Amino acid sequence: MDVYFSYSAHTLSFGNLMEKLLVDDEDLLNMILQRIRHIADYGGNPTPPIAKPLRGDIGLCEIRTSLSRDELLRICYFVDRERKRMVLLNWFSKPDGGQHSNKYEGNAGRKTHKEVQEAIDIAVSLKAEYAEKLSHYELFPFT
Amino acid sequence: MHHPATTKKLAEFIRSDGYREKASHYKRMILLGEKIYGHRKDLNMTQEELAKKAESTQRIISQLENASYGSEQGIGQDLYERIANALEIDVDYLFSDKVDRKTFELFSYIGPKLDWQWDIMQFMKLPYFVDLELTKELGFQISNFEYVRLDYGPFDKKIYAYRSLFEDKKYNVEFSFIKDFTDAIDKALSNLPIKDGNKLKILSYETEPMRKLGATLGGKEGWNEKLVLND
Repeated sequence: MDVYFSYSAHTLSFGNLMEKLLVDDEDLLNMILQRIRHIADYGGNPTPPIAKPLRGDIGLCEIRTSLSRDELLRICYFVDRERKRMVLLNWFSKPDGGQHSNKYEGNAGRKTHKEVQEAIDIAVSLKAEYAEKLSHYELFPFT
Repeated sequence: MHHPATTKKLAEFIRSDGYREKASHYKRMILLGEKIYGHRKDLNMTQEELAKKAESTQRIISQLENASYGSEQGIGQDLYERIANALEIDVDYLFSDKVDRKTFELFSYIGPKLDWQWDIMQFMKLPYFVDLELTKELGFQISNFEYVRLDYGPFDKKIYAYRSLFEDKKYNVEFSFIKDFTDAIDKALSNLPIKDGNKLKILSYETEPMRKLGATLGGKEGWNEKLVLND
């Protein structure tokens, strides 16, 4: 399945993440690209544990990559079945909810949940606008 | 909105030797992580429980499952063996790039329908028919087979790795990877003589990818050519 992405105006677009990682961390970039390719080979179906469906909007999924002991980078995507495309939307990082994280408790927890919800809202909105903005998306240069 | 310079740099990066070297490590780690995760779920174990049983740490199990174990981090063969033992699976299966979890689940799903009694023809053709149906309906195949046309119809030599796993063995599997597609799999199998390997072979010659090669039973047309499922 082909993979599409965009460099949209907001700083959390997948294209902007690629720009940043090309400069900062090629190893992490490689790790992320293998995940995307693996999921794309499986028709965009989110296979655990590296990809899961996202809460809220049916059809939105996320690819998860550990950044450190307690931080996860999450890339939101969906599958455009009509055009047989996997479409990468935005990304965000969040504390990993594992046993070592206390960032889901108290005020810090509320802040985390708010940030996560905002990122998911962006993904929902990008997905809703996608069909009208097809020209904003380009084929990922995997080959 | 487009950034041609960045896209060009990405394409160059993907073509570089450094990328290829690490890509193969991370790809292997993803396949390994899925297998550890899947078998841990089969046994209803937590990461901590698996770590304890394998004399490791939850952090290492988590890194392995999440495919975030770096190529520079060394890990001994003895740990892999302890993990395989703890998961009650063959260590060779755990490390084989030929075998993946979703195909393992597919065979585990088909197995009870055949009372776990199958010959090589059923073993190879049933995934083929499932993959054909899913490619038509959903745009992708379940198994990791890359089918080519051989004597007995669609074939991939990876089948031998699966056969050794399933020969005389039954598995009790939590279907984490194929659970959303069991209806489609059932549909694909519903009109097939699943218990008759010879008929499955004959029917495989009537499928579109085989017809496109002009393949005939006993003939050599399109010999060893790749079968395109998604036209």
